[in-house]
Amino acid sequence: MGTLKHIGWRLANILPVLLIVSVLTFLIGRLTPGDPIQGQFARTFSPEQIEAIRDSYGLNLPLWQQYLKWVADLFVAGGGNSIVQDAPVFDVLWPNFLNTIVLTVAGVLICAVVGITIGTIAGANHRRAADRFSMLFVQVGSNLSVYWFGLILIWVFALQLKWLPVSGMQSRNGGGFGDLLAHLILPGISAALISMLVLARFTRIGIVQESHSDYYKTFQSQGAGRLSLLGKHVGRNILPPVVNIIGLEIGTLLTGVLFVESVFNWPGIGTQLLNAVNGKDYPLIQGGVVLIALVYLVVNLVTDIAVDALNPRLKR
Amino acid sequence: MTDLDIAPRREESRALPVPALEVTDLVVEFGSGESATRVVDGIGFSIAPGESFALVGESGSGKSITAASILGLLPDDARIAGGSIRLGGDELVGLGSNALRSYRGARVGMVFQNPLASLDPSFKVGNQLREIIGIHRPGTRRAQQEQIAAEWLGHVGIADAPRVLAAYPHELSGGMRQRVMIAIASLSQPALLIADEPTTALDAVIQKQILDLLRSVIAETGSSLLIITHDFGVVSYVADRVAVMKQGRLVEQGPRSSVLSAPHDAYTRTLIDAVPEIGTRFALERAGQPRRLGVRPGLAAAPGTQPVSAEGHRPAAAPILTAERVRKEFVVGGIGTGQSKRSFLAVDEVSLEIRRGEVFGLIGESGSGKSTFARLAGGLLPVSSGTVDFGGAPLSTLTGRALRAVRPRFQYVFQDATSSLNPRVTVGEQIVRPVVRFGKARSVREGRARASEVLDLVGLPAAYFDRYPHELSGGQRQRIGIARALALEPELLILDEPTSALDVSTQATILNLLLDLRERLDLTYLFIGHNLAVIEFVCDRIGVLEAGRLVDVFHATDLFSPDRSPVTRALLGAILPIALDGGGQAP
Repeated sequence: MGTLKHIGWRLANILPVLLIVSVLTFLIGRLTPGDPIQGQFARTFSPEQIEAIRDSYGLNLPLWQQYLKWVADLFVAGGGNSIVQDAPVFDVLWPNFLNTIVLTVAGVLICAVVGITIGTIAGANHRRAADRFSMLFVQVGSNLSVYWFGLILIWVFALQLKWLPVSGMQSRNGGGFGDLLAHLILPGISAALISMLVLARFTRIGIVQESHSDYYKTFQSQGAGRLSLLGKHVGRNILPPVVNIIGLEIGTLLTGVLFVESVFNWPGIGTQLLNAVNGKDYPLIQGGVVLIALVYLVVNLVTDIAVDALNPRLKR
Repeated sequence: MTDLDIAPRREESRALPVPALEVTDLVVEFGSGESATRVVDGIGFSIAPGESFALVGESGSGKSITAASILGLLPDDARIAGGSIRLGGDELVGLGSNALRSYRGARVGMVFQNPLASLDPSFKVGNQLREIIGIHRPGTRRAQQEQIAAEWLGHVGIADAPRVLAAYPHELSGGMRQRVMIAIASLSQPALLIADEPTTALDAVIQKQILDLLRSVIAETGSSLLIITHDFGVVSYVADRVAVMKQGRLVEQGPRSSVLSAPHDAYTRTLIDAVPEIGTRFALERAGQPRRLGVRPGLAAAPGTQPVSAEGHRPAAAPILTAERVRKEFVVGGIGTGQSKRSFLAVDEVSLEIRRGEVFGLIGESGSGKSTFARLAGGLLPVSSGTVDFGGAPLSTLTGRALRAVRPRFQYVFQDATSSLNPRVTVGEQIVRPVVRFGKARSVREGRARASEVLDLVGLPAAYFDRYPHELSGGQRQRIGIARALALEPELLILDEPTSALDVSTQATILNLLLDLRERLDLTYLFIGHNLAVIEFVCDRIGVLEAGRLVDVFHATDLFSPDRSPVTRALLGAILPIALDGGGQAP
C-alpha cells in the first residue's frame, strides 16, 4: 500500500512537468521565425489559397485554441499531420523512434556494464597501478568527441579490421538479431562513451568512500573477506548513486545518440528531426520533441522509483 | 621522559599467565622512507586475562592507531614499522591479511566510536548479525544463526530481539545500535574486546548504560577489555589499569587508583586537573580561589583574579533575553519531495529569561531542542509561535533591516570551530569583515585594529591575523570563533556547545578564557551543552530541556536539591566522577 501510494504520488508529480513541456514544445513551434506554408507553397499558390491552407491547418486560430487542438491531436490524431509528408506525425516518427530506442538501450547497457566495471577495478585498487591506469583512460576518453570517436571506430574496426559493418542498418528485422547486434556495437560504444566514463568515476569514488566507512571497518574487524565486503556491503551501498547516475546519463546518452545516428547513418529519429527542422515541419518537430521528452520523464520516474525502492529509510 | 622505565615486564615473568595482549616497542608510521611520520613511537603494555585496560590520550596521541594496529586495520598509508603485538602468545605483527583474518572477531572483537555509522545502513540488523555469525561458525544454518543472534541481543540487554533483528539500523537509537555492536564484537567470546571511544558519541545517561554493559559482558565472557578514551570519568568507571599516551608515547601507566590520584607525570596531572567535576567550583570558592580549571583547590590563587560568587554577582539584574512560550515546528516532505508531509515539534512552549551579566546554561540530550532554541533565541530561525525579546527589541517579529540592526548586540560561537570558519580567508579578515559590515569600524584599518585587540583578548598573538584556519589547532580555531564574536562588542554571547569537540585540556583553557572574558567585558552568556559537569562549572543558572520542553530551571547551587526534576536527576546520576581517592568501582 505504502509503495503503491508512493509511486502514485511520483506519477502525480510529473503531471505539471508534462503540462510545462507541452506548452514549451508548442510555443517553440509557433514562435520560431519562418512560415512553413509560405516556405513551401509561396511560389505555387496565391495568397488566398495559402490562407485557405493555413485555415485548414488551424494556423489562424488564437494561440490558446491552437494549443488545445494540438494537445487533442496528440491523443486522437497521431499528433496531427506532418506538413511535408502528409501523414500522421507519430506514424512517420514511430519506426525511426524505435530504432533510436534500440540504439539508446544498447548504449545504456554498454555504459552500465563497462562503466561499472572500470569504476570497480579502479575503486577496488584505489591508489594502485590499476586505478591510475583506469583513471588515465577515463581522463583521455572524457575529452573525445562523439563524432570523432565514431569515425575512429569505423576506421579501425570496419575499414581496417573489417570485423564489423560500417553502417547501413536498414530495419530492425531485416537481417535477424545477429545482424542487428553487429550493426549496434560500434554506434552503441560511441554513444555510450562519455556517459560510461562519468559512471566509472562515480562508481570508483563510491567504492573508495564506502571502503572507508565505519560499517566496512566493523565487518573487517569481524574477519569478513574483501570480496564479500565489496560484493555485498559496498555494492549494495553504492547502488542508489549508481542507479541515479545511470538515470541521469540516459538523458545525455540520448542526446549523443542523435549525433551518433548521423555518423553511422542510423535511421533514427535524430536524422528525421534534422530534416523536419530544415523543412519547418512543425508538427513533426513537436511530435519528436514530445516523444523525447516522454522518454526523459519515464526514465526519471523509473530512476526515482528505483532509488526510493533502494532506500531502506523509505520502507514502511 | 623515556618509555624505558615503564616498559612491561618481559620474558622473566614466565610464571605469570600468558597476557591476553602484550604490545612491545610498537612503532607505527604513516608514509614511508624519509617522509614517514611516527604516530606510535615505541609503546609497550600488556593486558592480563580478564583485565580492563584503558589507553587514555587526547586527539592525535596515537591511541586509536594503536588499537587499529592490533588487528591490522590501519589506514592504507600507515604501517607497523617495528615491535611486537602478541595475542595470547601468538605474534600478530608480520602476519598476512589472510592469517590475520582468522583472529578478527574470533579472538579480538572491536567496538567503534560512532554507533550510528558502524552498522551497514542498507541491511537489516538480523541479516548483518547472521553474516557475522556465519563467518565465525561456518556451516550453521539460517535458523541457528537467527537463534544465536537473538540470544546475544538478549545478553546485551535488548528485550525485544525479534523487532531489533527485523529493523534497519536507522530505526534504532544510538544506544541501541551500540548494544548491537557490543553483541557483534563479543558473540564469538573473544579473549580481547577493544572498545575505541565506545561512548563518546552517546548521551551521558546512555554512556553509563553502555559502560555497565561492557563491564557485565567481559565479566560474563571472561574477556579482557582494552578501552580507548579521552575521558577520565570513563577510565575511573571501568579500568583496572591505565596508560596515558601523548604524541605516540606512553608517559605513564599503572593501576587506575594510583594514576588517577597520584600521577607521576606532569602531563597526566594536567589532563586530570583539566576535567571539570561537579562541585569543583564550590570547592574552589571555599578555598578562596578563582573559578578556573586546572587550579587545584588549596593551591595559591593566580594574582589578579577575584573569586566569583556562585550566587551570580548580579542576582537581580534586568533580563536581557526573554523567551515567552517559544515553539518551533519543523515540517518535512510535501509536494515535490515524493514524501508525505510530516511535522515534528523541536521546541515546545519554552519560556525563560536570561538576566544581564549571568551565565545561563541550557542542557539536554541530543535531540532535546537545545541548539534549535539557541537559533530561535538569536533570530536565526523564525519561531512558529511565541515571542523572543532581546533588550527591548522583539526579535521574533523583526525582519530584514531591523533584525540586522540588533544582530551585533548578540553573537554566536558554534561547536564546530572548523566549519564555522571560512577555510579560504585569513582569520584576521574573518574578524574584520563583520566589524566593518555592521559599521562598528569606519574603515578596514580601524577594523584591523579592532581585530588585533580581540586577538589579544582571546590570548592569540597579533601575528595570527594573517593565518588561515587550517594552520591553527582546534583550540585556536575556537579562540578565533570567540574573537570574531567579541569584535562586535556584543552584550550576549550564545555559546552552542563551544567545547564539545575539543580535548579536555583545550576545553579547560577555553572555559577559563570564557570565564575571564565575562568578568573583564561584563558579558552575558547563553551556554548550551550536554555535559552537566561543564555546565555546572560555568553557569549561574541552568535550564534542562527534554524533548523540546523546559523541564527544570534552577540555580547552580541547587543542583542537588530534592526539587530537581527526574530528568535532571538522571543527568546527575549519569556523571562519572574521577575517583581520586582510589576508591573501588561501582558494582
